[in-house]
Parts: sequence; structure tokens; C-alpha cells
Amino acid sequence: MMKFIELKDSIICNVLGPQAGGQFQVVEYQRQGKSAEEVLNLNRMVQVFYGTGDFPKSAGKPRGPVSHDVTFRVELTVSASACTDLAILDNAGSTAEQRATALRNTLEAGSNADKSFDELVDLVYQILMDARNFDLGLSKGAVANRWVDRIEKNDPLDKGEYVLLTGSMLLTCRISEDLTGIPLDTSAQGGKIFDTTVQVDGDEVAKEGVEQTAT
Amino acid sequence: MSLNLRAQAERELEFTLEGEFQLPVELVDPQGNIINTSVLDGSPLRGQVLYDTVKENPDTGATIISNEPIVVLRRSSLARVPKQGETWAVRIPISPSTTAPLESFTLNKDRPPEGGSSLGIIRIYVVRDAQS
Repeated sequence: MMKFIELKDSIICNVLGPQAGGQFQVVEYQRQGKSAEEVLNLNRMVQVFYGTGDFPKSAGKPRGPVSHDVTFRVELTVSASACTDLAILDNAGSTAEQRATALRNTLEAGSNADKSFDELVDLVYQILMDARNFDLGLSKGAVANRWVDRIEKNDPLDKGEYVLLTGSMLLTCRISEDLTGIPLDTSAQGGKIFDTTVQVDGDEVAKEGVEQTAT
Repeated sequence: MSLNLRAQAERELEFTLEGEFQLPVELVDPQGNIINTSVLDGSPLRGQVLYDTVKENPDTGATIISNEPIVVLRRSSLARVPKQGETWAVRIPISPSTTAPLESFTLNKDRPPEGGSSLGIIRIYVVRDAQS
């Protein structure tokens, strides 16, 4: 298995998952649809999946290991509603001043969603870039380097009483991939025969070769 | 002297907005004052409440029904008319019944009140709040 698959699983199971601390949920694939209720407040969602991989030209050699710059997309989704002091507004005994204060302190859904998103970026960034997580949960030396390339916030979306806000973080890691090749099929046909005969034109005697059976 | 059509239409809001389909509405202005009576005749403030809004899902383009109430009131019944940018509370019945308890919403600042003086109505978009 390529190392980037192990790395992705490790980021989710050994780094972000355990260190979320109830502040967000982690998903290991790209969800197509997310409802605003599902990611409300502390149920905000972090999705981690393989985005792109870059290899140097030397990666074409027949034997490994080869350097792989893996870029994971860390998609962030939050939602929030407006909030106000309903206890005062719904209280028949409240005074005009109390009601006025409650209204002045009303926070809009867009503002709450924006704060929640920024907080989530802070949390996820600090976890991923923590020096103790340099190898992102893999064994020491497995990750040569890692950095966050870019963070992006999208426009807020009106979802009824909620505002949904999405964005992404690009996390790039430099790892080594081993070239193991494709496993050979040694089933029913009893193995494959490789003819490594060296053919020399006009020279019957010079034929050399070994008949090999793959095991 | 007979009324012109505009004035006639405004008078008929008594039936279209405050008639058979009416529900009780309470407003709380930014100073905390409760407006729950009509300045026209002192009767409880009433208006039309639509509990769901038909919208287009921005992601898929499909038509969806969204739980975003709209309150339509007769402007001449109000001691003070909500304006864009102001924070008001709007209390409407939790279900379409004149005896249902009232629930508090606040004005949607992303959708300012609609309806100028031309038709005599004001359409208010509200949002449900969480307890802060």
C-alpha cells in the first residue's frame, strides 16, 4: 500500500480524531452533501482526503523509494444560528430596558458562523503543526516535512435559520513511497515462465538463457 | 368623495391582513417597547404569518421549502415601523392558531423589511434565534 494512504488514516485516527476534544468531528472522505443542522456549533466538520501528489522526475526509476509530496485537502464546514436572550424576550415580566439590552446583544448567524470557522482553523492548524505531531502519527522519520500551504474561506450560505460556512486548508507532506510493484498472480496456471534467452544473430551455440518459473 | 384605488386597497387590508387569516403578532422595538395593539382602533395587533418560504437551493438549483417565517402587517396599525438595520423582536404563534403561545424571533438583517407606503403593508423576514 502506498504510504500516503497510511498517512491519511494516521492523520484522522491518531492526530485529529483523538485531539478534537469534542470541538469538531472528523470525516475521512469527501461528503457530497452536509446539512446545516448536522454541523451546527461544536459538530462542525473536518474532512480529510487525498487531493494531489507531486513527484520529481527521478521518481521514474525502476526501484524505490521515491519522494512524494502529498497534498491533503482538509475541508472545514461550520454552521451557526443567530442568538439572543430569549429568556428575557419571552418573559412577560421583563422590563423595556432588559428587552432593549437583549436586542442590542443579539448576535447574527453570519457573525457566529464566521467566529466558529476562524476558531476551527486555529484548532486544526495548531494540532497539525504541533511539533509533537511532526510525523502525523506515523513512526519517527516517516514524514520528511509537512506544511500548510494555504487556507481559504468561502462565502457564507443562507440555510434558513442557519448560516453555513465552508473553507479548506491544504496540508502538504513529504514522504517516501516504496516501489513494490503489482503482486504476481500465481493461481491456476501454475506460475509464469520467463524466457531470458539471449539471442545472438547467426550463432546457434551462443544461446543462453534460463527458464524460470515464478513462485 | 370616493376613495382612490390606493386608499381603497389600504382600507381593505383590514380584511385581507387582519381578517379571517389573521394571527396575533407582537413587536418589540430596539428600545424594548412592546407594540401589540393597533393604533387605529386599539385592538390586538394582528397580521398575516407565513411559516415557510419557497426558495431555490443555491447548491443544486432545486426548489426547497425553508422554515423561515414571513410576517406581513398593515403599516397604519403600527405605532412605529421597523427599518433596515434596526434590531427588533417579533413574536408570533408557534403554530397557525390564534390561541397558540407566542415564540420570539428577531429581524433578519440580511433581508430588510419590504413594502413601502404604496401598498400600505410591511413584510418582515424573521430568523429563529438560539438562547445566548
